[in-house]
Amino acid sequence: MRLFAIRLKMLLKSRANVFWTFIYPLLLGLFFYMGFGNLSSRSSFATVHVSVASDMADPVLLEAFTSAEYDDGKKVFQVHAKLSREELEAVLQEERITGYVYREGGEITYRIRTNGIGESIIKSFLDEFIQMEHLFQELGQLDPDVRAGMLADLMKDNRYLQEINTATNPDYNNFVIYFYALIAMTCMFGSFWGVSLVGDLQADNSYRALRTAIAPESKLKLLTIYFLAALALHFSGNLLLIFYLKYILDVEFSQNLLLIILASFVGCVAGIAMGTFLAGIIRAPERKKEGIMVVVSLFSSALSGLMMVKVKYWAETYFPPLRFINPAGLVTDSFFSLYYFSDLSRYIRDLLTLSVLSILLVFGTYLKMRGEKYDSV
Amino acid sequence: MVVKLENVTKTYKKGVRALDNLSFEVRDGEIFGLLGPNGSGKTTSINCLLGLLKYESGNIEVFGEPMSANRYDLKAEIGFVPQNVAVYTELTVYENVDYFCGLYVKEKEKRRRLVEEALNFVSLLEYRNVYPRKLSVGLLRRLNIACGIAHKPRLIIFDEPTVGVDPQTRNRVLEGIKRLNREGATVIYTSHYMEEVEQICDYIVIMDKGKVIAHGTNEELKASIRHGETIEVQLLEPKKEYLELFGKIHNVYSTYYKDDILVIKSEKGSTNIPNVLEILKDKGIKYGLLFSEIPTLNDVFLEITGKELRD
Ligand SMILES: Nc1ncnc2c1ncn2[C@@H]1O[C@H](COP(=O)(O)OP(=O)(O)OP(=O)(O)O)[C@@H](O)[C@H]1O
Ligand SMILES: [Mg+2]
Repeated sequence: MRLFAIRLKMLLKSRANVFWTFIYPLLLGLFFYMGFGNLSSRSSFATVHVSVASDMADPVLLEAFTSAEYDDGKKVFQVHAKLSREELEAVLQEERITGYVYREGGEITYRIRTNGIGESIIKSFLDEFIQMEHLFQELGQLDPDVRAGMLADLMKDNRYLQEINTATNPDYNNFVIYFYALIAMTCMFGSFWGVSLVGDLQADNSYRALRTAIAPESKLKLLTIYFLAALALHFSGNLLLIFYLKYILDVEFSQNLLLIILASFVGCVAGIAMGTFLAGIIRAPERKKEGIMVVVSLFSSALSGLMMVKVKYWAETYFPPLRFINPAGLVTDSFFSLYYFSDLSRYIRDLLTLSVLSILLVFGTYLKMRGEKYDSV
Repeated sequence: MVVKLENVTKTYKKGVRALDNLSFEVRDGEIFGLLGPNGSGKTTSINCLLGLLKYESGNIEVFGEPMSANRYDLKAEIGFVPQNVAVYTELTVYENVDYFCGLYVKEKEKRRRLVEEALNFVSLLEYRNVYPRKLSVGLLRRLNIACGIAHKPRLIIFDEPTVGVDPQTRNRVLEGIKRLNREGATVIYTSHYMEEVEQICDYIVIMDKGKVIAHGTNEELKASIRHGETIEVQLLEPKKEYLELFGKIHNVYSTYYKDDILVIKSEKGSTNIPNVLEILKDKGIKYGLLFSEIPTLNDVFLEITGKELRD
């Protein structure tokens, strides 16, 4: 505990640390915000290709999709129907459609492939639709045909579109996903903490580390304490960012804030773990390791689709295991799944994978450092 | 036996053989001096015995047990003052000592006392809340020492603790080391300053190029060489023929000029000052200063390696 406190003080005393952890993400958040303020005022979107699973053949939903229009009379959705689930999945993977919808056990469910404006429209549309449907059910047993017509009419209001494209009403701002991306990237910057904590434990890195290395203190204990201290700071930096986005910039995260915070916490753990592991196995001066971390965190973030969503899918198509070993990918995926799916199973799976990965990475670092003797110090 | 190195050989990556079959032993309660010129392998041997460095062959024992990086029980009894100042610039003087001491001593009250003692020992009490950035080189050296000894180890290793400090601090450090030794600690002291080693060490190992070239007490080492006395005469008119003239004195084995100073070296057990004075008077040679020196460790080093200890 004392070691933890003193370690915190060491870290806090470093101006560079404080800047990168607390100030830099806030600045980025501000830039993002200013950038997207303009972007999100665009009013018209391209037609989205949606498919409806044939086994569903829900006339009400089909009607609603088909008749949805933008203000300028352009169709919102181009509906392809009469395909089996397997075929739909195939065309989705080929990116010929944006997403597809089916009914499973009475619940309307949808599949999308990436994230973007089209996907957001599908989501908003269905949210709205389901809400309407419930409303009608409560209103009583109307003739299904009448109901379908009324539903479709009501959906024509385009409320779901307004929610997406109205910058003045940030409540349902589509660009929130870019803020998720920002949080995820900030998590990855935790790798720098990994470098500094390993640097203070490996005797060949600095004289003070040498002094720590000759003390009768187990590497596992020190590694754990240093890790927790780094995590405490890194996570509080992330918390600050989240609260700043939410309460100062008024970015409205429509999801449960606690779940977002939880994902960011696990993301912080993963970021530091990745940095710890890489710094532990790479033999290089600290500056060089930091350089490597810049490249790795940006590269892994890029692979996770932060800058261009498609990259993630290309990468994972060519190298499937990436889905499980790229921490940045898992963090973004957990955020996106939080955004797109009300069902938490994918989110939970992502976080569990991340946790396991982090533990493996840190333990691997320990195995490497345990009883380590150096070629030169 | 507190420390035992047996045929340790260490080669660095670039092919530098830093230790070449090095063996020495440190006995309980002594101040052990490791003397050698720059690059002779002193630091390397210390780092090996601390369990930090890999080495190709040989055995190292500390307190009679084989030393390795995981022997926390052995490490707990060792204190180390590294050649380079190793402190956290983010922590104050007090916090630094407390941090490093805390790696050894968990009990809070006891640690507080030990830290106070260590700060007092190096006279840094008044700087307790100062950050290392604000300390002069000498004060930093003292902090470096405090960090290494606060936990009162049985074995303390000093790796050239006096490099770059003023004579006053140096004497203080040397006095301090003697005091630690009197209080029961075994000390390993490395240096390339022979005066320091002569002054405080009970037993001395002289190293060169990763090998032990001589060992023994100060007296034993000096007794082991042929050389007994150096007489230096500052001549007003140095002449070449004088070299031969003084070289003929009984027991003188070497004469040479160091600038305008005539150096006359005699073998052990002879006192040639009267003879030298007599010749100077007989021949009417004018001279300024004349002084005689008993052998130093430098003479030992010079006689064995043919070069001066200090470059
Ligand atoms: N990290 C290293 N990599 C390669 N060679 C090294 C390294 N450290 C030391 N050496 C070489 O090993 C030899 C012994 O060095 P060492 O530092 O042990 O000497 P030393 O006696 O402590 O010298 P000094 O009085 O300068 O501290 C030297 O030739 C040195 O150049
Ligand atoms: Mg040295």
